[in-house]
Amino acid sequence: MLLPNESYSEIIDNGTMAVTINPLGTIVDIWWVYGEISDTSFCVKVALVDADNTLDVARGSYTHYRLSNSRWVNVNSGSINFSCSNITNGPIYTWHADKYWVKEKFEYEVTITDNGTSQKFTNKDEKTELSRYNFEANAYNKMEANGGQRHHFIPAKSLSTNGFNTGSAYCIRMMTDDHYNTGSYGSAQHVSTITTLLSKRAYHDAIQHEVDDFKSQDDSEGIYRNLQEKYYYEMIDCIYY
Amino acid sequence: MKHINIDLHVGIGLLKLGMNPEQMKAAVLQQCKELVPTGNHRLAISEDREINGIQYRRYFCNHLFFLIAFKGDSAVEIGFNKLIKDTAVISLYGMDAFATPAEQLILALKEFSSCRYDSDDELLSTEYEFDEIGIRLWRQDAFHPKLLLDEDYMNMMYRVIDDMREFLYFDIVAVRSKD
Repeated sequence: MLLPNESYSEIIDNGTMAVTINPLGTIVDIWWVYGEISDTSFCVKVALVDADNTLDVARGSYTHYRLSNSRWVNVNSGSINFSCSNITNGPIYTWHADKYWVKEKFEYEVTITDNGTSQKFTNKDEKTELSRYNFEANAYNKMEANGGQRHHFIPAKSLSTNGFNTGSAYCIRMMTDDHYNTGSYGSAQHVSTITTLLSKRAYHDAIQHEVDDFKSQDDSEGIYRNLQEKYYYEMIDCIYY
Repeated sequence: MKHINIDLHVGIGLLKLGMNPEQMKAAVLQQCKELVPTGNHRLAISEDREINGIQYRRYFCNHLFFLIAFKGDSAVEIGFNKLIKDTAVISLYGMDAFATPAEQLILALKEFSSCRYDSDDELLSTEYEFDEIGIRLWRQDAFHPKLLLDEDYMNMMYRVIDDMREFLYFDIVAVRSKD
């Protein structure tokens, strides 16, 4: 049986084990403290691993951040406190917030008091970060940047030069640092290549050129192997639009 | 707020034209440390494919971004991105390059150089090249207040008009070496 967030490789990477030991050195209770994030909510949870009574008290706070270009900004101008007692398996606290910004993260600190001892847990490190993306592909004039940037899949300049409407052309909402990594950002040479391909009606080649560019560029966060992997579904939307 | 002057045909701040990639890497790192002493100074460099003998390298460090073009082993264009405006003023002929509206900046630079731009409308181009002074200005998209009076434009773009206002200003200001 697997614990929440445990993989078959036996690596549990977004939670912490809360172990209570009595004065004789015997393990009394074991709880697993972890966070979960979805498109609509953020949740701090505990899972009973080995305990014969409820978890006495959990008190903590969380902070909701949004990415604004390259910087994290606190959404609520501070942390929000929560507390819960006599806890069994399941959520300690759930915060309902639909995803909106290009990337959001939740940081929590929780102090668990059980059998007279207190322990503090936090997810403020890269391994236990709780974050979610809000990437999207849509028409340029129908999609806001939401803290990231709108990247024309086929460069706007290439489209307009060849008589296409850039406002209704498809673009991808990307993280700003990823957008800076795309070949067309700041480079007239890259754009010129696409412009020439479109003028020759070599549409397939133009799309392939952009796909290759995404494949050749690094993910600014170092999480994915390249931008093609990171924005895979959004690229497909652009290609088949 | 720190001030950095653009030295025509020379460079911007510690980044100088003619530097090789190793020198540039060290200069970018040092520039970032000087501008933003705290935080993570891990430098990431992304290399574009070479086109017509020119290769762009993209430098990221501690919330700053620089776009440098190399010809062979020598930097021939140094571009600063607008993210720097939170920490420094990039000064071009006494103007703040990232806080001066594009129209005003273009008008001022035309006093010193001819200007090439990439669309039929000088006010709605995305790239401007001032060859005599070796300056290139670039923005992702073009915007001008006159578009607010254009009914067709507003009908099409009303939903994202706040995002468009960002393009009143340039994204990248670059200095080039003399040919």
